[in-house]
Amino acid sequence: MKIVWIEDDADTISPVVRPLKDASHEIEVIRTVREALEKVELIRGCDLILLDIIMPIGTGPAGAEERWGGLTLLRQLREEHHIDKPVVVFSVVSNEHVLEQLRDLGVADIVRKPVLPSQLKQRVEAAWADWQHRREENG
Amino acid sequence: MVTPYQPTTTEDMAVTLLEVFTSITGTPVTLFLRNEERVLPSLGGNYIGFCRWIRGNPEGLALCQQDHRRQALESNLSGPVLCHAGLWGYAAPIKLGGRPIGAFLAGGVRLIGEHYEKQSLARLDALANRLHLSERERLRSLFSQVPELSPAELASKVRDNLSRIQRWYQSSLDDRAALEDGTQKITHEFQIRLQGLLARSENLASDLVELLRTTNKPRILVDAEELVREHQRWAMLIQNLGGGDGLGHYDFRQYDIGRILRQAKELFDSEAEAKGVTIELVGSIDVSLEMSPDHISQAVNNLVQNAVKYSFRGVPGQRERQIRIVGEKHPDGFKITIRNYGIGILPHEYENIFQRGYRGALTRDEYRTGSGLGLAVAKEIVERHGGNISVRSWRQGADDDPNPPYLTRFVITLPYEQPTRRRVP
Repeated sequence: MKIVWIEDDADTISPVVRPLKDASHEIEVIRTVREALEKVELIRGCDLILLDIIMPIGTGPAGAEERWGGLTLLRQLREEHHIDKPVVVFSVVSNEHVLEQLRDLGVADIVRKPVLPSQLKQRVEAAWADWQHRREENG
Repeated sequence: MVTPYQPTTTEDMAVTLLEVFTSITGTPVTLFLRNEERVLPSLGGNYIGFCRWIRGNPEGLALCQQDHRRQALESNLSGPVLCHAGLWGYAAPIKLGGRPIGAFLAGGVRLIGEHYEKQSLARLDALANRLHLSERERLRSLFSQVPELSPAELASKVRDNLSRIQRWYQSSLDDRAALEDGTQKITHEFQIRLQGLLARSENLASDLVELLRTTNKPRILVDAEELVREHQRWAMLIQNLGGGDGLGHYDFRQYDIGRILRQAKELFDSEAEAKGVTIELVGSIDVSLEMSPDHISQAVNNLVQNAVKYSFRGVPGQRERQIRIVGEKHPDGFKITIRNYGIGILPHEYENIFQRGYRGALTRDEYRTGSGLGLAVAKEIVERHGGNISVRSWRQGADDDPNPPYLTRFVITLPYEQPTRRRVP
């Protein structure tokens, strides 16, 4: 499976995806919202998106930050770029309002940090299997 | 026994502000909170001589207190108001964050102008009659010493003081919001660092498994696995600090309770072993329940951790040194029983023990550590699942044992299905 991992703290927490890599999943890391918008075609070509939600947007006025940059990005990917790939949110998120919006955007799973790498692998693979199963059912 | 914290800070703060206002102006002041129909008056220690003299008479004091309430309720929340003793005050509406919450009544002055003076003197006479005051001249004399202001001056004085208080209150709200934002950022940073640590430790353990595949586990491999568990236990503590919501949203789905019970046993096996205690897992545990797995795992882990912590040290193999985790299917739900021997809980503490920060009366020095949050978090989580949690504890051993073990049993009952499905699509 080809996974795009959108995560601004990837350097700090990269060991968490090692079991996924060891299981021969290909992981492409994108570190900012801006980079993600520049690489829309790469994202379109992947099998699954692993997405952090708390990221600076980085496209506003200098120094401006928006806490839920990942959410804004996901909305753009879904609504403007029509990318309907399965998304596993991997983040520190407990804000009910944000969670509601994530559900509305049809995310496959929400995995809260911190988690053991083996658990992340299991959740990502389960989300992928479930998505494939549903796609087959829907023809 | 710890008394649960009862927050009264807001009311204390409001009364303090009223006292500050009164001590500056020497006049009575009342805060009326509209949504609760509550009236908070200042206490009167700093009132002007006229008010103090009236309040020295028991009936005068009662009339004064009734009048605070009447003024607050009848003042229509804005404009001049006349008190029962003939003094004028001014009612100003209070808004917090743009929302009207009540009125602030202050003043206690004579207003300049024949129209106002006439009304004042009528009230003063009525009061003197009501109280059968013989010292009418004394009352009039004190009344004449009350400061005089024009209606515009009174309104502006009250509004200026009120604005200062509102500005101060708003800035304290801003400070609190900034503090909460700062705390959120620190928590986030904490979680990220913890994520890195957890990942590296589990990966190290996996490396060692690959490197050292033998029939007997080398010590270094056991150490590595324990390092992973230590980090998990640390993560548990951090998550308990956030209460039942410390793990974020409740993600309800079908999950095997057996996996959670096995993981809890593995997580605390080594700590139990170090005390000469064993953890035994029995019953029909491979049952699928609708639950938020991370949360139920946190609740079960907290109970197992407590069972280990409060077990007496002992010799392995003794029945009294076993912790038993039992899973049972019942018609009314799945029942998890966690039983241990050690420090007990007295019957009158069965409810209190689930309060944050509560420590049982039987706990002693070596058992007094810990966050005091585990049981409160467990109860919150179980109840969010529509389940319940209870405890019973029985004294064991000889009657003359000065330090007897107690058999303590925590029982969690969880429904098989959730009434409101809140699955992630």
